[in-house]
Amino acid sequence: MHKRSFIVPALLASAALALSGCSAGTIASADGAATDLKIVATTTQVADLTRNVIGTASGVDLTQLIQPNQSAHSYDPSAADLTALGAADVLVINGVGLEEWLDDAIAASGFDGVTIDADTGITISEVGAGEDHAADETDARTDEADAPATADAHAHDGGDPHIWTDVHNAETIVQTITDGLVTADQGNASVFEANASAYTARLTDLDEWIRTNVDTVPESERLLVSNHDALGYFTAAYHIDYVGSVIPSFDDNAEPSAAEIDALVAAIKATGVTAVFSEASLSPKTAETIATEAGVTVYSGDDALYVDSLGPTGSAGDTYIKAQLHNATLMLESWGVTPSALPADLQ
Amino acid sequence: MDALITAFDLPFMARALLVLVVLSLVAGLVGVLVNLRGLEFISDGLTHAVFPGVAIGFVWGGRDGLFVGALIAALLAAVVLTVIVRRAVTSDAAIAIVFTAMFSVGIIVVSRETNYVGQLDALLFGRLLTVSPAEVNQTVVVCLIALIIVGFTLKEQVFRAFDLEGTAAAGYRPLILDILLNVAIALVVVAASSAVGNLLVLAVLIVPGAVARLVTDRLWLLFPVAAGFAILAAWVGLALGYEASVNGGVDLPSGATVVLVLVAGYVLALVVRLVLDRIGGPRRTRAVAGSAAQ
Repeated sequence: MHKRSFIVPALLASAALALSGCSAGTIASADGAATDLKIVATTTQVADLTRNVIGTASGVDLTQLIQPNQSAHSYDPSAADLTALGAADVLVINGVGLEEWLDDAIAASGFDGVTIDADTGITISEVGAGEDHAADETDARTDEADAPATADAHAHDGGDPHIWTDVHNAETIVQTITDGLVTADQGNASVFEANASAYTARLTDLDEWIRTNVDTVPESERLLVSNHDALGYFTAAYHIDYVGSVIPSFDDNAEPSAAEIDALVAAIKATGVTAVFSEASLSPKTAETIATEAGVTVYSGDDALYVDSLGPTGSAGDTYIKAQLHNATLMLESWGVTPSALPADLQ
Repeated sequence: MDALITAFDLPFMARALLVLVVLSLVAGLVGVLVNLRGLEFISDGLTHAVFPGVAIGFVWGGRDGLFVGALIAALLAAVVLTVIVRRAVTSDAAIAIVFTAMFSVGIIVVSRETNYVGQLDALLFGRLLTVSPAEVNQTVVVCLIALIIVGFTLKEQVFRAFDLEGTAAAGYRPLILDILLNVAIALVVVAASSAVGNLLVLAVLIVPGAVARLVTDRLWLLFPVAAGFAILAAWVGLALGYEASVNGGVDLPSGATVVLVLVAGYVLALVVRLVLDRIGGPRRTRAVAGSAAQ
């Protein structure tokens, strides 16, 4: 008859085994109650810009959802992320449909605060790169970017979401974030505004430095091939000719077909591109294959560009300004230019 | 330890638990039949078969199309499968061929659609914590249909599981019973896909039934034990994932955590059973358990 009495001890034992694992670490949740304004930011870029606006303001707490080198597309919010979001007063997002998981996460967490949309006031471009050589690739791109741009923020979903790559856009985003935070926390208004104007001054210097240096290269030689179609705003701002991308999509985990690789290799050879850039958050394999086939240099590893994500703390691209400097410096090197010294406030 | 209760004050945790409890109840019922009939491989095949439906549904109708596509593909596959297994020489080969073919179709559809790729892992692994209220409703309705199908034919299904010829001789139609059970399995697969994902559905469907078989030999106790075990594992797994994420700083994907708790429970039940068998000597009921596998 011992078989029936078997059920209860077995279930209890399995429960006890599983439960014993979760008794550790409960103390940690007790502190952190003193903050008045809880902010959650989605991408590494908007989180860094927001951090610069907050500065040392008291009683403000920022949680960054997407971690360095994590894709914004396939991000899956954890229980801790959703809990932070549910308790937040302000949510800072990139917008333009980059955070595909956002509606679900907001609904799931019960977030009912203010959302600051970084794409407010920014002209969203429909095609990835500004000036495009490879015509057959443009065809492939237009059908996913056919949503017309209107004033409604949610109609941007078909556009290019990588708005931060143009430093001017970053200045606009900082202004949008500052306005939003000032409304949410009047007590810290003067701190936010002072921080924002100091930071914007640095962004202006950054923009000027990139522009001055890029201008030393003849426009016909400013050619760029990168891992995925994410530098459209950057190339348009500095009149760089975007020859093509290794991955033929805005999305960062699509795979190119054999024909697409051939077309890109042909375009590289025809235009005289000297280098192919990989991105820090993506696998450099395909970029390396193409660079080898076309006989050009590949920038990968530590020399990869920081595009979709800023780098982890301690890397060359752990802040927005450092990442932009890193990218611009590498591009200038690939064009054979030694960049001028950095202004004091950017070092 | 308080995460076991307090975590479910949060709306997303409560919703995840609700979905899993509903799934557990149905999986308890259907899963035991799967275990008695030895249909684990067919269930595995069905999770593959749903995939092209999900992919085509997404291309055709966006996120709303996912569910419809999955449903159509699952029902179609369940019927086709039942017929094939009745006619084919070796059913395992037929299942493997049909379903790898369907999975490949799904992958081809997915790679034609560049925007879609980012969502692929959500389909394969589920997003338990961000299940929307609409998805909860869909899951409940689909599970309810599966529950009704199996519930009304339960006696016949059990009869069929133990004695195919007897069932036919008694005037039942085994083919109809097989189709109904496979359709119910397909419905559970569809319902669970959005929560625990395409690849992990199988654990929810199969492990509780297997655990129940280890825990008791009494036929009608199998169903409540399987459902109860599944609910317990869902509860503990969700709380564990929450605790690790919020207080431990380790992000455990919820769906996978629940599955591992299920499997841990199975291993534990297996070890305890083996130990008890050794102490108590060979059991007379083993013959009964063995005959059910046919």
